[in-house]
This record gives sequence, structure tokens and C-alpha cells, in this order.
Amino acid sequence: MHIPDGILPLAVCGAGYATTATLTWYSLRQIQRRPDPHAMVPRAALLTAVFFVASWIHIPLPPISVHLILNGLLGVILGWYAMPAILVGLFFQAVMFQHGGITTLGVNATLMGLPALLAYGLFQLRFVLHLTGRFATGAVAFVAGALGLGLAVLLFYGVLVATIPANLDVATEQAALTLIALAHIPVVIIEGILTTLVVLFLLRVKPELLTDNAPVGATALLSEQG
Amino acid sequence: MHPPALAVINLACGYANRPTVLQGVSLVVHPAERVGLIGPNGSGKTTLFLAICGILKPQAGTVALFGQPVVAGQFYPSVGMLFQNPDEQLFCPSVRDDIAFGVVNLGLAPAEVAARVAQAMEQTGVSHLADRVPHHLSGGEKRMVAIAGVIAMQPRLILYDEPDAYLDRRARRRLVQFLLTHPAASLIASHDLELIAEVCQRVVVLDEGRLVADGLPPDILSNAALMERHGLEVPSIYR
Amino acid sequence: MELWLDQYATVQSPVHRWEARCRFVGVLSLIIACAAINHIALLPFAVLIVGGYYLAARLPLSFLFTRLRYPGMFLLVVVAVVPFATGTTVFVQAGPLSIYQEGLAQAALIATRSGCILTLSLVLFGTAPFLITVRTMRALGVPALLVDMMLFFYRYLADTAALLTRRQHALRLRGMQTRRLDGRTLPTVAALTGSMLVQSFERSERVYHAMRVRGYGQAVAPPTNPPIHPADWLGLAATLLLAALLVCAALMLG
Repeated sequence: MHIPDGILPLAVCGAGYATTATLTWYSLRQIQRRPDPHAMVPRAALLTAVFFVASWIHIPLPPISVHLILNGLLGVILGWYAMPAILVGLFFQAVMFQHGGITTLGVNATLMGLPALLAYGLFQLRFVLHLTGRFATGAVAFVAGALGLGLAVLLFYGVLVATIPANLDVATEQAALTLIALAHIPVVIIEGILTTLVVLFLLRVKPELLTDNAPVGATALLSEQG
Repeated sequence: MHPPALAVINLACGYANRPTVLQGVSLVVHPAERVGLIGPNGSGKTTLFLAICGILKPQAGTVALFGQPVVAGQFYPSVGMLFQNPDEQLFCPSVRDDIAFGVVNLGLAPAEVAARVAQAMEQTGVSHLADRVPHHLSGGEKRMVAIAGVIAMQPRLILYDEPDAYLDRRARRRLVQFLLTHPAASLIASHDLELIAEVCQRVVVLDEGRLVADGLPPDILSNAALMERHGLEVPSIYR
Repeated sequence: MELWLDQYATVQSPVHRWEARCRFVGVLSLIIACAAINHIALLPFAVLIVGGYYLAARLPLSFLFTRLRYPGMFLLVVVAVVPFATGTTVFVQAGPLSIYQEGLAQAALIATRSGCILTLSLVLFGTAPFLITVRTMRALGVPALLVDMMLFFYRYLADTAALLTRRQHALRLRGMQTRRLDGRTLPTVAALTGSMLVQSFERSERVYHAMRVRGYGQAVAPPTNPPIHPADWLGLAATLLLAALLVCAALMLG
């Protein structure tokens, strides 16, 4: 689900780079505010490699098979490191495998990164709402995972339909978008379920993976609740 | 007359970037026999194992398990494989789930699955770990849990890829006891030649993708010239 | 696994000899210029310029063709659909379907632009080893944290890929069904992903500790960059001029 080079007008590519630069700049600023910003760098990079590789896993969805995107889960786990992680991952994707492209790197990184950051924000909301039980965490993870991919799908087709000129009136374009969105519902549900399952797995095996990136204060809240 | 547990004939195998890892390997393992597979790093031991299980497709030659030819890509419950690094084998959130994973794939009823899992845990001495998280176990415990996951499927041939790696003396002792008493035919790849001498009834030497020796452990392991030639050392018990 | 575009990084050519920062900025400006093209009249010029740089870099054509294979599929779809869906002037009428002139032009634009940008990307990243490219990006102002992440990511990508392969082998030997979706597929994939995350997390802790011991995170003087010779500046100026000409022409025709 990456837009290749040559499809989008230069202005759209530029706008993509502008939003990606803004999101990355803001993320880096948040990261620099951590007590030891360097500490998470090897971790974020190695986990990015796992997400990169996990996107090669195919889930059979007869008659086709779909591959994982996991940008919602990536946001949930990496927090503010999600944007640099996605940027690095997509850069390598474009250069090594020609998936996506150099001019569209900005657009693609925003398409994936913005929903990932929203998923992170949503997942952190559970501290504020005191939804830190196992069931509630799983439910929030589902919404975060499904929202992460669902929003990315909408943005992706939105950008394509809006920029590729076609003899379609507004109503037809909207109908086409709705149809495409509906077709992606099974995949969105699969990503939501997977995000829940992975989050519950980590909660049991390595809860630090879910709490280390939390905003300052949120972990204290968690430990208070025991 | 029973067919051999494993019959490998003239096997050649490799990868895209290393086409000839194995060349003309022939090997027979009989039921209940324990065969040691020794050789320097990179001699092709793991590749041989993956070809036997039907994960790698051979370029030439055949593999048969209990008289049944192996087709790459198929699932053969009659053979089990223990991976070199248990972390690569253990992936479930609890020990019990992990051991049950393969048994469930055999399509057994839940009661039978539970019984098999309990039996495997008993045989490997890990019953007390059933509800623990595999990632939190010690090296020796992980190894025994990984073995339990393999034997719960009741394979009749087990391939052990360096089963003693990462083990301390006590854990190694337990492993040796287990290998000596488990009835399945086994092919054991290891750099620990004392372990091979203690456990195996036969030893084969693999070097640069070819089988270069096959015989009784005392004959092979004490042959200083042969061992030296293939980058190995005579273990202290034969010195 | 062949990861970076390293296989022709040590070829001797004018482009390889071009100072890395000048080459990066120069080729990138051409990429932007190609993305700006909005009229088919400019396509022959773009193809000539891009072809010239590719030839000057002495990269083999087979390299280009293997790399074009994947994006080629997407482009094929665009080229097959756009002439029917875009435009008002009918070029050919085939039964109920009509091919539009504007659509044809649009398809040619997309395909050529895409091919040109991809070819230039190969010139940009295929003419220097990975480490040089990353250092160049740092020298040109990419944040240190991003560059560090790129280095780590690259270092551990092949390892992580091998880890997934071995784990998938282990799963298959224990009877994991890969072609059917049933109640166990998603839990298994989740446990696989989760356990790889845990394993990499723990490994990254060890990596970080080993690095801390050797002084990672200390402020260090930035590495000195090699000098830029007049010929490098000249190449950059000429390339920027070509790029500017293309952009101006695009602006006038658009």
C-alpha cells in the first residue's frame, strides 16, 4: 500500500514531505524530552526491523492472501518513535525493493505515520480513562489497530482518487471510495484482532514493551493501580 | 523387515546464494538407533536436517522417512526437529500452549492433546513449568521445553541440532539421560564429542557438504588423523 | 539476501568519483525536476538526461530491469486503465470503450516520470556503498537520531529476516497450516510476531548496554567531510542547471 514514483504531482509530493517533516520534527522533539533519548534508539530500530519483516507474513483470506501492515501496533509499541521508524522503514522499502518511491516517501510516511501516532494516542488514553485491565487493554488495542490501518487505507485511496484525473463526478468518486473502504473491512478487522492478540501477548510476556514509551507520569499511574 | 527410519540417497542441496552446501550425501538411520552427526561449523549439518524434514527442496537425490518418500513442502509428523536456539522454537505465551501447539496440529481431541502434553512434560521433567512464560525460563529449561514440544507429537525420528548448546553441566546431564532413554531414532548434531561418545551408537562425519566417515564412536572419535583432517579434536576420553 | 544496492558501488565512473554530497544534491534535484514534468513534450528531454546520467554511472542495464520489475506491475495497471478513464477527446473507439487522447498522454507521463525517477534513484543509491550514503545524508542535515536508526535497522534487518525464516520453519515442522484461515491462524501469527518483538527487544537491550560500555551517547565531534574539488562543484552546477531548465519548461508549458 505504497504510492510509487511518478503518479503524484510534484505539489502533492512536496506537501507529503512537509507533513512528514513536521510530524517527524515534533516526534523528535518529544523524544529529546525523555531523560535518555539515546536509550531507545537501538530498541526502536530493532523493533522496526521486526515490523518490516512481519509485513512479509501473509494471512490467508480465501480466495486471496493479505500481508500485514501493523502500523497501528507499531504506533502502540513505539510511541513517538513511530514516525522515525516508519520513515526509516519506508526509505529502505523504496530503495531496496522499489516499493513506494523516493519522491512519494513523504506522502507514504504521512499515510502510515499519522494513523500510527493516533493509535498511540488512543492507546495511551487508557491511562487517563483508567482502562488498564486485561480486557479493556485488549479492546483499546483492537480499536487502535483497526483505526491505524483503516485510516491509512482511507488516506491512501483518498490521495489517489483526488490526484489522478479521471472522468468521474463527485458522487461517483465518493461511491468508489465507499466501495473500496468496505472491501477493506475484513483486513481492518484482522489487523485489529492481531493488534489485540499481540498486545495481550506482550502484556503477559514483556509488559515493559508497552509501558516504556508511555508519556511521563502514565507509568506511575499504572504502577499505582498495581 | 522394517524400513529404515531415515534413508537419504545421494542428496544434493543448497541455497540461492550458496548452491552446493550438500553434495552426494547418503545416510541410513535404523529405528531406535542414535546416530551422532559431527563436523566443523558450516559443514552442512543444519541444511541436511532441513532437507530431511522437507523444508528445503533437494537439487538431487531422495529422502525417505520410514519407507515414505519426503516431498518438500509437506508436513511429516513422523519426524521432529529440535532447533539449535530454543528461542526460535518457543513462541507461545505459556509453556503448556507451546508444547500443545504441534499436537493440536495433528488434529487430536482436546483430552488426547492434554494427555500428550502432560506426558511430554513428565518425560522431560518440565511439568512444574507448565504455566510459566517460555521467554522467562533459564537456558536449560527452555531446551527441555523445546524438546517436550517435539516429543509431544510422538515422532519416531528426532533430529537434534546442537541440543547441548547454551547448557550448563547439570542441564547437560539431564539431556544425556533423556537422550539415552527416549525410544525414538535420533540424529544428533553436536560439537560436544563427549556427548556423542556417551549417547550415540554410531557416528558420521560431515565436512564441506560430504559424508566422509561412518562408523562406531570409538573407531571414529579416536582416529586422530581423521579428526584432525576435518577440523575436529579427539575427545579426552579417547586420548 | 542482497539488501542495499551495493553490487555496483565500486565501479569506476565519473558519477562514482563525484563527491558524495554534490552527487546527492545534484541527482536529487534531477529527481525533483522529473517529478515536476507535466507535459509530454518534455518527456524526450527527460529520458535523454536521465539516460545520460545512467550511462555515465556505468551501471548495467540488467540492474535497471530487475529493479523495474516490481513498480512495473503497478505502472502497467495505470497505463492500462488511465487511457480509458481520463479525458474528453476520443482517440480510438472500440465498441463501448473509448480511448481518450488526454488519457494516453497522462499514461505516458506517469510511466515515463516513474521510470526516470526510478533510474535516477539507482544512480543516487547504487553508486556508493551504504555507509557512505548514510554519512552523506547526515552531512546534509538529516537528524542524528534518524541516521542512527537507519544504521541499526540495516545492521539487524538480515538477522531479523533470518529469525522469521527459522521460526516459520519451526512452525511448519509442528504442523502450522499456512494456506487456510482458521481459529488458530491469527493467534499463531500474533504469538510469532509478539515473540519476535520480545526477542528483538531483549537483544536491543544487550546491544545498547554493549554500546554504552564503549561510550555511545557521548557528544562527539562531527566527522570531517572530504574536500569538494572544483570539478565536483562544476558537475553540481551543471546538474542543477539542467534540473532548473526542466522545471522552468514544465512551469511554462503547465
